[in-house]
Amino acid sequence: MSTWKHALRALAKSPALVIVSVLTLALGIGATTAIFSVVDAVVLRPLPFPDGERLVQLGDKRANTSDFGTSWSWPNFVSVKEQTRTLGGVATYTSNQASLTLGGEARKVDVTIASADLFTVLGQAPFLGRGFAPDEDQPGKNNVVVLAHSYWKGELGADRNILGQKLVVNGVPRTVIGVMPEGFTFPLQSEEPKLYLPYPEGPLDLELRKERNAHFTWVVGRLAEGRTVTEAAAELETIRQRLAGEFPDALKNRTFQVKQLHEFLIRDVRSGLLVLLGAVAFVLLIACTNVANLLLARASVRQREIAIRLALGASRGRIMWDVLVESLILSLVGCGAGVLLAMWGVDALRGMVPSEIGSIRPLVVDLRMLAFAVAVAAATGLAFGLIPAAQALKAQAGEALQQAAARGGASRTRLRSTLVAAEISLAMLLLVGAGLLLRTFANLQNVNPGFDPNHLTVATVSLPQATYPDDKQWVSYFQRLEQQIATIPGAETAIALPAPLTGSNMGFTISFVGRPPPKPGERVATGFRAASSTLFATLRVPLKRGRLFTAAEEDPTQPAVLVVSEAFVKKFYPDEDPIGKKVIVGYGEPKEREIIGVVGDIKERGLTEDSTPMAYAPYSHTPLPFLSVLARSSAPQGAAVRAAIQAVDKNVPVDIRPMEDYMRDLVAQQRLVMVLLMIFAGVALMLAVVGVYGVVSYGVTQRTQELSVRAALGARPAQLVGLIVRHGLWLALGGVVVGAAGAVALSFVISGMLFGVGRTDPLTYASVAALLVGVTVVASFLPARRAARLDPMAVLRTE
Amino acid sequence: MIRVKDLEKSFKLAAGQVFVLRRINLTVEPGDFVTFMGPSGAGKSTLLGILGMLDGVFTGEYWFEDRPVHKLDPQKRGELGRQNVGFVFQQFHLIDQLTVAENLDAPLSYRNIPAAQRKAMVADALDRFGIVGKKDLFPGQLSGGQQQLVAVARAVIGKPKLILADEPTGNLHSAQGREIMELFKKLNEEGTTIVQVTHSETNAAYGRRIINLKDGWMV
Repeated sequence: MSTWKHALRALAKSPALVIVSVLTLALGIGATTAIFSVVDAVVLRPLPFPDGERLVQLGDKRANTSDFGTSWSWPNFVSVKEQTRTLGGVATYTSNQASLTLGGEARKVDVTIASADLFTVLGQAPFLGRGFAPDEDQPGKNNVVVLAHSYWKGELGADRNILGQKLVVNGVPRTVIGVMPEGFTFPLQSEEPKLYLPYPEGPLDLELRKERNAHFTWVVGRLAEGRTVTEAAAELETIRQRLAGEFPDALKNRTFQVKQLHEFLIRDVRSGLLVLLGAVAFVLLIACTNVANLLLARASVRQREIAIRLALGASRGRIMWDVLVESLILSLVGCGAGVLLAMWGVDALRGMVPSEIGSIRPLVVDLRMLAFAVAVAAATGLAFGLIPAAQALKAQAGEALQQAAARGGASRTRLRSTLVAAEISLAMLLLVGAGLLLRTFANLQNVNPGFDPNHLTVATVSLPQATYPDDKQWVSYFQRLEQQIATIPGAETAIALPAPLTGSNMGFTISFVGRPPPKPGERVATGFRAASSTLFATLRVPLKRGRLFTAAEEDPTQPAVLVVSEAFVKKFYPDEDPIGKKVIVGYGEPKEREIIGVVGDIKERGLTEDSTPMAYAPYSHTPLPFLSVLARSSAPQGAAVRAAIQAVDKNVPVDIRPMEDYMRDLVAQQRLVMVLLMIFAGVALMLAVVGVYGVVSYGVTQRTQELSVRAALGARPAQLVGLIVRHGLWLALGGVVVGAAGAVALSFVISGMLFGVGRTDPLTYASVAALLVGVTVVASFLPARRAARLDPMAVLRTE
Repeated sequence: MIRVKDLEKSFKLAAGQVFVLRRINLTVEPGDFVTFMGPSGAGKSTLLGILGMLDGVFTGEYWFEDRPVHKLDPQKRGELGRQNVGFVFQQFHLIDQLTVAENLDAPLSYRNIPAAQRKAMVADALDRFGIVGKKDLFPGQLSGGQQQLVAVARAVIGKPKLILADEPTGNLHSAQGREIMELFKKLNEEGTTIVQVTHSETNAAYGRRIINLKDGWMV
């Protein structure tokens, strides 16, 4: 106990050292703990379902693509469900929005539409009532609804008598049969649904169910007891081959996939999170190095005291423990401050993490996080305490009363210089990473999406299938809506299905009149957009050849025409003029369409992807019960657009967002990693600068005598400044060279996040190196000025 | 060479003004060898610092070869000192991190002398003082006498007109001290003006005249 008491007393005598050390460690431990809490919630912990590690996502993709094909057709889903033995259960689901009428007022709510066995597959029984019965995903039996706990508690006052009551969803009364437990939400990557509805939602679903080529729903499964993902993948391939024999057009060139649900959910964010965890570990390492440096300086001051204690008979182990205890006290106090910082950091991160990972498991400050912080603190205490403790042991009792301090000075300065150069190396690593992502982000901002996304409001509308059961209703709605939005003053408006870059894409098989039909199993497809004639002008998509379709051609009785993109021409008509050619493409009855014009490409699948071939047709010729209203105006038009949509039908749910929001979402992950990496790199830079200042300043103190002699021998102030700054400069150059080599070696971990910039981009490396050398020179200059002001008379005074 | 008229130096303390030097009037002719003697705190080292132009804060007049040091700004005063004065200290004050040759080069490097010329001057000094074999050694590898020999060599390498020595043998045993004083004598005979501070009557005897200081006064 007396060791701890003495250590506390010794530290109390150096308040500045304690404050700087604790703040430095708090930064390191706090940042590491905050990021760990995200990694823990998203990557390390199992999914919040019973036996969550057995849940798998099933994929169905074209054989020659590298993506995970999330969308399934209903017939394929049913085939897999019937034939699988490795999966104990398979369920299908999709996220949507629905109109919920309560007290006569319709509101848009997020819903999950699922097959009857979703809750069984997820292993989650309702908190109240029951889940879907096996036949409740059949037409005529599906007028039931299960409530999310948050909705039941928040909106319905946790009314236990709600079971058996009716809720009007999309115009259809549905009986409430259950309430899910608190915290349960599915799918995890979407907005939390308020309601769970069984398929089919309406006539369109029934129509789509018949098509083995219509991929519109996602599939989740649960591995049977003792079965593995590999076994499931092998079995799915066997099933696919069997189906391909029967339905070659739909399945020949496809692959069924299976991936652990957890792995599937974090596939896009895992590398970013691990990069951030690595980054904060570096920050922590720099913090440790700084504190080790401070303690080394302190050890040199205490050299005489330690040597006297050795002379008095203290064992070396005891001395080492005494020094270590001081480190541990500092690290534990730093840990306390770090945890406070981490709590604040977790709050900040909660608002920053993209919703698709934020909803996997809520970010919380819990015992795991505290245990992590304490473990990190103990480890760091040992890490930065061992160096000064080992140095302390170099004290020789015999020299104690002579010149112990002077003797150890040079080697300790070398050690401290090495540590600071290492800090600069680590800061270089982080700054290069942040720099590369900054350039990536700038490049993404400069990508031309093919249309002008500014001042554009997007309103996404889903027509309830109960009240809009067929295409006549959809076209009628479209025509009324088109007229209504045209009256919004000062706005250019259009209708598109889907709107570009909003996460929805539509594609259809295409065949070419006059060309041989595709071989069995060969499927040629194009992206497709149904639109009003004003779309191209509203989006500012340029006409390249031919003409655009007119308002008159929107009439379904008029001949079907098609406008295609340049990528379409490049792919399907590389050596021909496409104008006047006829193709068969679209949903429903095969219909010949004449290509009348070519427009510029749009980045349909994201800013970093190549433009996909696109075909544009008048909406009325290919109607579906979803569409987006686009309104361009210098003033925000959200309210006017909503009013226009509600003027047509107030029961239609609508989701309004500026196009800038969608654009921001496209770069959200890069932005998050970049912002955090820049913060950590900034902290690392700051700590490295403090380290350089400390070492150079300590060096000036140690060299006071020498510098005074030099002054007495005629050295000018500028020459003394140069002598000291050169020391800092060498530290910087050493750190930069090692750091650059390390950055090249480690940059592969972020190479997947880069766009338009190489991982060894010379400009980034040179800028970071210049920055580090610059700040090091500045940090060295301050103590150097002290050297320049040394009084040469001090030499005579020591005589 | 040196004319000092009514030179005074004082510090303002809480208790009032404390004088370190009072009404110093002094002339040192070229080729002279002057010894300052006196008890500790008499002001010897302070006077030496002023004469060596390390300290410019005083009242009165100090003329060095007809140049009014008391009127010079710190830069010009420093330049005048650099060109004309060499110092030898009791603690030797060699720079530990530099070799013997590099220590000799240090004062030359502060005088804007081209590197080639400096190299020749260092070689000449090493030869003249018989320390060629030690040129690559560090001060810690030399005896006290050898260190002071290097310190004297460093003081004279720039061919200063004036050498100021503050207790140059204070840290040496008698034989080594004698050797250093013989060296000063030889340098003086060759024309270098020397001002030394010492407590030793024996060392003082090497000089031509003795000035006693007590409580800042010449007595």
